Amino acid sequence: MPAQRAAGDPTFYELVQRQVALLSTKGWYHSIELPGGHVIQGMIGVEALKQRLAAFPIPADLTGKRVLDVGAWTGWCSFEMERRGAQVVAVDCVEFEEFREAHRLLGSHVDYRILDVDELTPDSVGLFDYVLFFGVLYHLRNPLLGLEKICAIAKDTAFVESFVTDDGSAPCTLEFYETNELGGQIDNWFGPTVQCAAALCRAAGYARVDLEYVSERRAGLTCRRRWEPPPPHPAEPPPQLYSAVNNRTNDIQFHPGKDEYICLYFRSDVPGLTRDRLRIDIDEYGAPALVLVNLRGQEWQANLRVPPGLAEGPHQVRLRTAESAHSNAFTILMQSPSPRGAGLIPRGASAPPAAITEPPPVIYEVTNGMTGSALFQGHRNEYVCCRFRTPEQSLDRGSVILQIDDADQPVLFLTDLGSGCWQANSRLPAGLKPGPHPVRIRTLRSDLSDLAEIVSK
Amino acid sequence: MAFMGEIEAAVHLPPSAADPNRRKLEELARLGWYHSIELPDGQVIPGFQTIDDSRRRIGQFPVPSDLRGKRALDIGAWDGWFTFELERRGARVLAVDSTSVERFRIARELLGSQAEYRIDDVCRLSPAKIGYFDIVMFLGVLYHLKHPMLALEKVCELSTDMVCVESFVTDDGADLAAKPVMEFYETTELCGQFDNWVGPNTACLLAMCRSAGFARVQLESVLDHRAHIACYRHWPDIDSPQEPAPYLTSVENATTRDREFSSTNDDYVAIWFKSPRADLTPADVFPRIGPYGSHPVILHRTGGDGWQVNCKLPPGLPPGWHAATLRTTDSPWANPVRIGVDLSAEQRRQRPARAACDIRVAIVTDGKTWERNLVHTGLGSCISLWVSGLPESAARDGIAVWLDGDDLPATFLSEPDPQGLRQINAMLPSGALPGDYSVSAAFGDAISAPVPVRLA
Repeated sequence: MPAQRAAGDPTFYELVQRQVALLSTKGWYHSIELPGGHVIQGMIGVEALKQRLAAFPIPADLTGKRVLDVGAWTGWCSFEMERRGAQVVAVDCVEFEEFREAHRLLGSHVDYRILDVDELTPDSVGLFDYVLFFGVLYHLRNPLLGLEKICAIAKDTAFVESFVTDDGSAPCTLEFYETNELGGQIDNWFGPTVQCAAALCRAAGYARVDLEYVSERRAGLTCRRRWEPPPPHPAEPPPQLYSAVNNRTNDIQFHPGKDEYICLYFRSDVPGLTRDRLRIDIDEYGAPALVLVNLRGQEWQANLRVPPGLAEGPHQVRLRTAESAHSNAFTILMQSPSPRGAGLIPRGASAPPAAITEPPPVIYEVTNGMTGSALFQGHRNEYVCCRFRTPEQSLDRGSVILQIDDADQPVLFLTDLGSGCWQANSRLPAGLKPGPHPVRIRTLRSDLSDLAEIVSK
Repeated sequence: MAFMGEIEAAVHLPPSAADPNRRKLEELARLGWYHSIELPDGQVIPGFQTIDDSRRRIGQFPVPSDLRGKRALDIGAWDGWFTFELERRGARVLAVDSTSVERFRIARELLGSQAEYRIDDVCRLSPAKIGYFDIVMFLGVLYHLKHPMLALEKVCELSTDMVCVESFVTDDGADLAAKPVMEFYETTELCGQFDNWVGPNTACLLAMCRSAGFARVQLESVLDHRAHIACYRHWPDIDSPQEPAPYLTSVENATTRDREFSSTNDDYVAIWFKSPRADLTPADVFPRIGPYGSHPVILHRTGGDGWQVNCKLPPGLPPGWHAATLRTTDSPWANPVRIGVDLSAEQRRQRPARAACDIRVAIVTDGKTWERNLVHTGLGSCISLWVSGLPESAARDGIAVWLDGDDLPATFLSEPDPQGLRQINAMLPSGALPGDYSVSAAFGDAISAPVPVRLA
């Protein structure tokens, strides 16, 4: 059966118009149960409201939890969350007198704020354990931005309920409503398919997205910020993380507010690893990989979005498979752009020159990081990838010096490959003449290694 | 930024991948340059796109050949061919890209170009940062963005005349009556690149451009899944209008029902007007706010020769008072009515100078019960005055209702009834307390004698 579409569908139009007429006679959208058992009858009955909420895995006991109700309208969900013990903030884009009245009648302590979704930030409302995002998504001109805003303030789970255009079988698309195509209302902008609603939630930065139900052109999704706990008895070996860098700059620095992507390089001995089996964590939050590529053998690359709402400062990146324990951690830095000329990356503590106490490193491979060969074409995105052995244990980028043609090159990143093996990457110096060029490496405590060679075309 | 131009930002594909774009990517990697650049001595830096390709792309848009004295913005400049072409035509150009492209800097030096270069994300651009532009090139960027509407609104805000939008589309543009639909690419669904986010069909791209706040949106062509859309901020002028001008009776913020607007909200302007034409459709009505046209979102008849049209507050209006007006297909512009955008307290106090007149309040009532000198408070409650002595030219925007010293902007002003009385409506403040007050009507420097009213 072809998926029924709501826009331009007369039956749906009539349904919405009937609801609008009903609302104008009822005045209240949600019904509200008062302490004495009396019920203010709204357009949606108490049973229907309870049923909708029950479709989501929201704990019955919310004592000590902070809950945000976005698009609270007359407030049934807010008051229900409060009844379960939560400290609740209710937000709407316009003020409803009915909410205020119910608030008074119930003696509620819910904090009612008039804010647009775009105005919800950790600074304006703080962080929440749970966020209810019911009936809001399709009213937004930038639906993914709205989901990102919610993700940035949700510590645990966001429950998303939305109008959808199909029953779940249609491909991942959004209908766009320029005027009043959807139900004759002008405040509807985008209608996602069920698959698209789930994809938007994942793209917004949630680790796990579960579809709870699809019914009468509405879908419910549970969006969790954390992966399931790692298995108590891992069946697979943990991956080893080589590096985590900004894919625009190959640097560990990221910038608040920019659309940036983390590029992970790692080793995994799990054969045939797939994207859906990867579990990447930034601090305690999970983030799905957008792409997973096998570079060669057991070496892999995964790219992911920087999750929304990361505070300034260092953050730990780790990954695992569904059946493994966590890898080692790698630090990325969330930082506003530095003034011109200032160092982008804090150097390690090992700045002062030290006495030569260690043997020189031994280079066992130097390649063009883009191609894996020793040949460089002169493209901007090429970088030198130098792998070496050293008995030294605690190296950082500031304590390794890479030389090309006897000139020091800043090490863009350094990673411990394990078993005394390390990798240092640097840019190619500008204006390199065609032909072979020597590459050497040393640490602050060692002499220069023997030379290896790269070839510039 | 260009279609396959993101190889540097994209995942490093393994040599073994059997990808249909492999050959394209390898060719690009071999050449290094995406745009070809013609140097002053006639030599050409060969790029993935030939000079002819680039000329064909800009040729899809009616970009004037003489841009002297104009300011141009090239968003997603990449290697810079369009930047340098606009400069060659005489414009002062700012090129913007999300990441610094060394080849742009090389070409700029080789060409002795004066173009400015700025690294920024499109959604973070603003007139406060970079000013306004007569012409904006927005080529090959939209489908890389997670929030396409936000970007189109930003681009509209920065432009004062024309924006050239080029984007990937999912269809060939043959069916413009198709349902506007946009594909969403969660990962690498489009061409194996993970920095492609959305793919609209042509109808959807056109609708989004209109919704962003442009007056006119013109599809120029769709070639090989690339739509070229010229977006204009102005309506064309009428040389010798044949229809009588419409008459504006009221202009309001469609949400708050007052005359103030916020550029950061998605605000809509509701215009009530009278027109002798009984056959108006949205295509016959041309609203204008400040210097910018804004197309009708809804139009309906309010009875008799009265109409209401709603349009988006056009992006990019500076804070202050702006004239709202409209015309019909072949009419002159209607009487202008002032609206305030992001008003400062100082601007809010500014009122237009008016000739002295003798205003008298004949009736005070409310819009619900019509009881005299009694107004019921509560949500959405309004106070209605019937007044005489307003000059013929009085429009709602210059009128205030003073309630014990509170300035309530008029939300409605009727035409004179047979007795010469005109109705003024004003919203009561939401916190108004019951009690005895006095009310007067003010227009310019003239103010009526106060009349008692009880709020119940």
